[in-house]
Amino acid sequence: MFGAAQEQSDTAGEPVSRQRPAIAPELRLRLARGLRIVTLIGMAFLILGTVVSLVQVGDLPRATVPPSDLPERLLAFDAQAIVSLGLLTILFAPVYGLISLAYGCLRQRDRLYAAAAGLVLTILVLSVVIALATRGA
Amino acid sequence: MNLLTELGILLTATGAGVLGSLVGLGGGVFVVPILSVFFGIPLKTAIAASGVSVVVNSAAGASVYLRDGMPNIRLALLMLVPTTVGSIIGGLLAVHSSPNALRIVYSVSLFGMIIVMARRGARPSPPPAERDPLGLTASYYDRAIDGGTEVCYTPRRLAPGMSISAGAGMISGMLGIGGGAVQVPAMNAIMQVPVKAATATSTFMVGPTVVASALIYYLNDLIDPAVAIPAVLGMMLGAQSGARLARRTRGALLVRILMIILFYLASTVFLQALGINVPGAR
Repeated sequence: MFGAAQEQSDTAGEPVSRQRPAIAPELRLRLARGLRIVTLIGMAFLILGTVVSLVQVGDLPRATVPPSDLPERLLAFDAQAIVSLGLLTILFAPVYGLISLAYGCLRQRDRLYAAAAGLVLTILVLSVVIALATRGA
Repeated sequence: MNLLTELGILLTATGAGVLGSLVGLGGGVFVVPILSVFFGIPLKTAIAASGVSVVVNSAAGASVYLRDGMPNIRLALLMLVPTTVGSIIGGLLAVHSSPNALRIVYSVSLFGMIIVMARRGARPSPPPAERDPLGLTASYYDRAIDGGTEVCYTPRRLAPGMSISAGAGMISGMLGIGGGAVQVPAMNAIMQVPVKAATATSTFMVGPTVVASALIYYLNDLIDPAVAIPAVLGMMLGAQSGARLARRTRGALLVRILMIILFYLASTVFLQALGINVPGAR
C-alpha cells in the first residue's frame, strides 16, 4: 500500500503542508475546465480547416502559415491558415494552464509557485525567441 | 501524399494511441518510428507531428486528472523549470541534427525504454515528512486501496529528480514524445511519489514540456498538417479507447508484447541509421 491512510478530506489531491496553505480546489477545477475548452477550440479549428481544405483543393494543407501572415489569410478564409490557427491554439493550451496557475498562486499569495509558473512561462517565451533567431540557420 | 496515406496515418496513430495508453508510454514512441520507417515520412516531420499530438493528449488527460485531484501541481511547477530548458535544447538538437543522428538517438532511447518497461514495478511511498518547507506534501483519494483510501506523501530528493527531469525534457523535445517513460519511474523510485500521482503529475507536465520544442518545430516549418492532423486525431481517439481497454486487459502479457514491438521498431530505425535496408521499410 502506498503512503499512510488518512481520512478523506475536501482538499484531496492538494498539497497539505502545515507551512504553506493548500492550492485552492477552485483553481484546480478552473484549470481542468480551461485546458479542456482550449484543446476543444483548437481541435474545432483543425477539423474546420481540414473540411475547408478538402472542399477547396481535395487534400490537406502541406505547410503551416507564419504567425505574422495569419490574420490576413484568416480573413480570406484560407484553409492553411485555419489549420495553423488550430495548431497554435492547441499549443497555447499548456501556456494557458501556466498563466492560470501563476495568476491563481498570486491571488493565494503563494509567491514561490507564482514565480515558478512565471519562470516556466519565461522559458517558453525564450524558446520562441531562440526559434526565431535560429530559424533557417 | 494522398488521402489514402493520410487515412493510413490516422489508423496508425489510432493504434499507437491505444498501445501507448495501455502501457502508459503515450503514442509517440510507436507513431514516430512507424511513420518514418513504413510511410517514408521524414523523421523530423514525424517527430513534429507526434509533438503536437502529445500536447493534445496531455491537455486532455491532465484535465481529467486535475478534476480528480491527482497531480501534485507544486511539484510539477518546480520540475517544469529544468524540464522545459531540457526540452528547448532537445528541440534545437532535433532541428539541427542529421536524420541519421536522430535515428540513432531515437533507437537508443527506445532500447532504454524497453529496459525501463522490463524493470518497472511500483515502489511504496513512505509516510509524509514532518518538515516540508516547500509545501510539496500532497494527498489523493485512491479507490483501489482497501475500497477507498486517502494517500498522503511527500516528494523527496528533489535535486536528483529535477536533474533526471531535465534529461527527460531533452529526450522529449528531441524525439517528440511525452517523456513519461522516464519521468514516472524517476518520480516513483527516486522521489518516492506514489505511481498514480507520478503518472498524473507527469501527464500534466508533458504539455508545457513539449510545447517548448513544438514552437521551435512550428517556427522552423517542420509541422506538416497533412501528417499532423491525422496524427493528432488518431492519437486522441486511440488514447481514449486505450484508457477504457486498459481496465480489461492483462497488463503483464500486454507489456511483453509491446516490448517486442518496440524492440523491432528500435532495431529497424537503428539499422536504417547504419544504412542497412530493412524489408518493408521505406
